[in-house]
Amino acid sequence: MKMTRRELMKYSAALAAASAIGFDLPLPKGVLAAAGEPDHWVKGVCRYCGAGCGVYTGVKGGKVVAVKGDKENWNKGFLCLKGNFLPAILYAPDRLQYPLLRKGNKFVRISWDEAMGVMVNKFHDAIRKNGPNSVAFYGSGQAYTEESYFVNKLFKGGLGTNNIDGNPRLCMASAAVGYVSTFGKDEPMGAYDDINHAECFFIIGSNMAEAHPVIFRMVNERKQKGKDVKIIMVDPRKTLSARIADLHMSFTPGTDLAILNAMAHVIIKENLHDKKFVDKHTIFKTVTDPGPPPKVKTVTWDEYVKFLDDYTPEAAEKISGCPAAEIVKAARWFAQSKATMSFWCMGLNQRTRGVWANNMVHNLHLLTGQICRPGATTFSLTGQPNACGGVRDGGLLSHLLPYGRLVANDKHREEMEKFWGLPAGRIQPKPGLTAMEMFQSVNSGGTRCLWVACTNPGQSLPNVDAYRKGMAAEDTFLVVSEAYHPTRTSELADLVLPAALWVEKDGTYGQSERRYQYVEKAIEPPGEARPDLMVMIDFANRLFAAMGRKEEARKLFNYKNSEEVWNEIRLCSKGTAYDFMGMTRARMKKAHGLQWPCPTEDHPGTVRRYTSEYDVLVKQQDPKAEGVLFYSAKADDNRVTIWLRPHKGPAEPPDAEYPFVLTTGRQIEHWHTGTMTLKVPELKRSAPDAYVEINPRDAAKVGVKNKDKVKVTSRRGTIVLEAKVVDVPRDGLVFMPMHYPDRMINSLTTDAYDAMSKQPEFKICAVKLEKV
Amino acid sequence: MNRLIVLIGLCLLMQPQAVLAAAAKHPATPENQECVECHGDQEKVWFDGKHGLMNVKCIACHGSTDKDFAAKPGSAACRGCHGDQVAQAMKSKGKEGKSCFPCHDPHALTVKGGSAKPYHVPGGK
Repeated sequence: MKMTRRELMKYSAALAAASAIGFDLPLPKGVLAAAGEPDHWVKGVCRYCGAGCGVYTGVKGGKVVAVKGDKENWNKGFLCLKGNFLPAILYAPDRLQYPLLRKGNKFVRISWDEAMGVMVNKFHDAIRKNGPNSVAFYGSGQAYTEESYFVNKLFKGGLGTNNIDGNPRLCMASAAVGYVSTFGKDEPMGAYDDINHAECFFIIGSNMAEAHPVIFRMVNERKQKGKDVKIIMVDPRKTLSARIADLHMSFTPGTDLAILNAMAHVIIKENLHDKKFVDKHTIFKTVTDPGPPPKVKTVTWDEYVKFLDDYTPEAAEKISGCPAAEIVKAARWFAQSKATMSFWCMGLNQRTRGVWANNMVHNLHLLTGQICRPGATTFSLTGQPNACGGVRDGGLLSHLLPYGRLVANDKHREEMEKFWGLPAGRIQPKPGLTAMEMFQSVNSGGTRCLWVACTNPGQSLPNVDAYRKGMAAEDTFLVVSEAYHPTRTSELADLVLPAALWVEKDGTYGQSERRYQYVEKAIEPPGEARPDLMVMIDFANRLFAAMGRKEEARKLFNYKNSEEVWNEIRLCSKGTAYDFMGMTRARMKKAHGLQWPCPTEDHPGTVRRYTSEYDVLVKQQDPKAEGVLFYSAKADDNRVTIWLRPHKGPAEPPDAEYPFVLTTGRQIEHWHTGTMTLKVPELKRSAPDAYVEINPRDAAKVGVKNKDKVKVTSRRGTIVLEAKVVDVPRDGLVFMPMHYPDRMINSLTTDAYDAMSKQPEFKICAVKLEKV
Repeated sequence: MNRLIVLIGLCLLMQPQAVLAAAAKHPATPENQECVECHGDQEKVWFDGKHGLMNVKCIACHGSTDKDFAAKPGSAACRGCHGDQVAQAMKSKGKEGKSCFPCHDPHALTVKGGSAKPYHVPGGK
């Protein structure tokens, strides 16, 4: 890896360069306070998190001047704090309007024709000299489904490389592998409607009051209106979410696996399990050799019970610091409630044992039969608006093919080759590079061309400084498709392509409860910005022409608009567990989202899967089936797996030199790397900068007061920021928000990752604190 | 001078509520200063109310402390989540009816003096 000029280039320099190009997008003053009604309202979905709130954008004079929640959608018209300010993200002064090419230390404006020419030459050259695995694509859970599907087809089917992955690898991979390893198929079986029926909520590793506020509003409403509804919150921080908790269980970060096993222990010892459900629908498995490949053995109920002997509540208290009495109380509430619903998010997923933690939450539901009934379900919260729809379902991960198919499965590759009209053997049988492996490959020079679209790895990767060097190196051609410039990634790019944002283009989003929603185009993009789908189609056709495969391109990439891609997606999903055949574009335009499976145009969508009462696929699989049928687990005779997973701590626990645990997370005002929300003056004023949250006892030990400057150091880096002394984190834990480009907290985080999901452990690393 | 004041007053009276709201300025504050540091009483009422529990923070109604600051916010800021209710209020007769805050406490959001007859329902006034 050669280190050159770009290592020296700083954010401010890039900003100056960008400003010199001349952006002229004045932010409309008081867009939300605009008097009078917009000319018209356009139906869509919020641009931020995976909750997927229905939103109408109010358009006046060709500009979005207002938003309002869609009262006919699941969110009943409510939006969160940042959702209310959505219009301003479209008019930020750093919206990129023209393609930019790096010339030395500067970016210069070029035409789209030149941009595509440069890009095609670089990719063609790399493929010719080093094969298709020398190019890669890093996508996003924010791209539309049609964009992710198309680029997946281009790379895996067209170019014959599986080096295509996305940022959901950093946030949802453990949840996806957790569902697949337990149930045989990805994605929750339940829906937000279960909130209206649950009598106990088990919320672990989620600060939903800030990260998923509209879902939190529903949970609170259920708490207020229901009779004796219990809320259990498991989190080492007493977050704003804990305000509605009946039981807040704090614990030493990284020890929650012991708590989950101890809850299972209590449930069985107190005979609170549903033996009939367990006998009918589950099997037990354990890993005898981690491999790779891992060796798995099926075991008996008795062996599972014996395995749990080590996890008495008292033993778990010793490991976790969580009082045994609280573990017992939580287990009883969980098992004895008429319907229990679990929620979790990054607190479980961003862990080196993230998949295990997911399996263990599922275990509790399967042991107690708290599943596949209204209010009884195990529900993973999602961070991005289309991580589920575009990436997990659509297969934009290096080991996946669309709609539940796997790269490593011969039959699945053959199916996709036939569907796409490819020669046999085109799709490579070996999974490609996962996110962290991809950036390691960029560092080592194995990846010569990398296309990053709609995401910001130059800020969001763990141990980020190590990977920024590779992205900046001269021997890697980095293309970044972005709505804004500079970002902490686009500043490192060789070519930056201006992207249409949100309602400046149309497409489909699929959120956490399997609800797919069409986002209608409301306004024109600024300058020469284009929808990423149109850029991808253009690039694919030009690249194949350069490679002498123009005829093949004509068959593979012949789309005029997103609807044509969507219609192919529907066909691709036909007959799978996802089945979108009933989701025609015309129907989606009218509907307030439809939940898959939705196999016919008269099908209303599926609120709950795997139960004959709600899921039409149950009877398709077995006409005699009544009640629950886990058709997702055909290989195990429709039985899903209760896994024997031991407790194992984090990759980097605190020690004498680095005595504090650092955990990272969200504030309600901002979203991800702040490229959008930090451009909204109101949100920026409310949450202007990063801080290190520390409790008063630890602050006294370190000798810092509120607003003092603190130096935070991990084994990977150091940053200085203000202390926020507040009794939220438990002793020994500090918290930092993840959103700020000039406070790169990921300079500190570890890039250790889960061996199964390859998702990094953002949530736990060891740091030391010093007053500055 | 008096004529000028009357003229300005008449102009303000003729403006929609949202424009009225934007007239006041907020004093300059350091970036890291939080609202609660000066507005503790209001913050407490807000925190204990529905909007406090749901983290509908000061900026949702008052904007930032910059040009978009509104000391007495208009109802347009409520539209994001309460579109129907705002639309209903705007149809009512009289200046007061067009605002949310004659009925709702601005920080607790509770209905002032209780509510004998539901307003935001079909058949409400």
